Amino acid sequence: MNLYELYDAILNGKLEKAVEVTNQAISQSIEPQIIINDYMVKAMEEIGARFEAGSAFVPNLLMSARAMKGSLEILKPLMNNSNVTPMGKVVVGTVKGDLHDIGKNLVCSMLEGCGFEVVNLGVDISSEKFIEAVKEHKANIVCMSALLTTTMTYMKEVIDAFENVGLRKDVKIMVGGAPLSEDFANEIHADGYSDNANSAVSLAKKLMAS
Amino acid sequence: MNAIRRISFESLAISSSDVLKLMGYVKQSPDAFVSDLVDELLLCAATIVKPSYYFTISDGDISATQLSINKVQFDLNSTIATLLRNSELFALFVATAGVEYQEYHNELSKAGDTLMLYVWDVIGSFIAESCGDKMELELENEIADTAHTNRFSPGYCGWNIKEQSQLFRLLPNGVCGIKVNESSLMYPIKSISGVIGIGEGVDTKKYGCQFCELKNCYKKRIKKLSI
Ligand code: B12
Repeated sequence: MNLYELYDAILNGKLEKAVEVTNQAISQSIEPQIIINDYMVKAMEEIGARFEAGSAFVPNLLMSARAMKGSLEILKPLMNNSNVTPMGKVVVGTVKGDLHDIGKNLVCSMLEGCGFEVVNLGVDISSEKFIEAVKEHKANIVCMSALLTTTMTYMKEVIDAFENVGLRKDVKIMVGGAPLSEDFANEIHADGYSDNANSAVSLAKKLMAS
Repeated sequence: MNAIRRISFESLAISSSDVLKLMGYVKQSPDAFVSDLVDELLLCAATIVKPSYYFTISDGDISATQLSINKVQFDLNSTIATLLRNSELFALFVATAGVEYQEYHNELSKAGDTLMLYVWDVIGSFIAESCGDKMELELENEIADTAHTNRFSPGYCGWNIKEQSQLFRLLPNGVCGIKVNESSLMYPIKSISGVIGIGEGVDTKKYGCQFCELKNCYKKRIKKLSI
């Protein structure tokens, strides 16, 4: 069995092939940590780099993420007794007053594909709901999305609400959406901003490590 | 005209290559899986989507930064006001992919297949824009040889999106099934609204990315890819 086939399957977004090779690898008792870190994560990094360079597009990212998720699901049960640490738990939602879901869902798919546990709250999410979800799921990161200048201001209210209930230090807060910018994110004291679903994953990894 | 026009999806003549281009596949071909999905969802759109548009032509006054129509005042910024200069009449318009489009979007969103939802989303943006083009064609017919400006929308180019609700005050209630919420968001999401200036001597220059201050827009990226 050639584990590079797994790398190729994820890079090219072939779910069935990825699952097939992963099963073969498991039957040959290859460590999940090696399968994930040396082949699967590498493939996701490559598709991400191609996306940033303009030679792969959103559908490519999504297909790779789907293949990655499929393989991860088979490996998950084996990971408890190996030394693979879970990436972290993320609560994602589009803020109150805003009903846009596509950008947020792309971020969810990419995070999930890269091994994060994702709780997708949906659209029109109030600060209370964000806080409740963080408490319930013991999330490490909150991701907020907004597509209008009128709704992005609500992100500040959510951040203040986390501060008021004393939970701000326990979570990292990431923001994104078309009208936002790095400056806006700094202004509202978010922990990070990214302008696409691919870089959202590297940002989340960076925040988990900080 | 003062009637809502329902148009067929077919009349918009949206091709799969149009949709693929909007996703970035300009020079590069997509995976067959993706192009098949685009074809499948275009067929689906043909059976369920009912786009519509509406426009109404009014008198109005344009100053250096403001537009006033039937006692409703709009604070445009100088960029749009300048581009509307010399207009004698103003067409207020909406165009939408429609409620049926949105309902299917919601179903796909619940089902959780992000790739399918993404393709449907791109198709929806295309429908809304093309429906706007159809509206503009009918407007051109109606104003015969009189020149007109491009379409300008609240939320673009310094025109505060909050003025969306003012614009809807000048349109029939619930026009084309569109609702505007407190955040000035139109629902169905794939909807556009705005104004077109009409008059001899108006600026007919294409309004495009050159006036937009959005830095990280993927449309600019795709444009670069096509060069
Ligand atoms: C296509 C488009 C349309 C389409 C579809 C609309 C839609 N929302 O689906 C149509 C033509 C219908 C349209 C209409 C309008 N639009 Co429009 N539209 C766009 C455009 C060009 C792309 C939006 C899009 O689909 N992006 C693709 C998705 C996948 O990207 P995304 O949602 O931004 O998400 C990505 C990132 O932002 C990021 N991200 C998102 N969330 C998060 C969260 C976190 C935590 C992180 C880390 C990252 C992240 O990752 C995602 C995936 O890569 C943008 C400009 C732009 N370049 O973004 C303007 C834009 C959103 N529109 C704008 C405006 C003003 C309008 C209108 C109000 C105009 C009008 N009056 O008619 C209407 C509003 C419609 C409504 N329902 O109210 C403005 C909004 C700014 C503002 N002033 O509020 C924008 C930003 C354009 C601009 N130049 O200013 N629009």
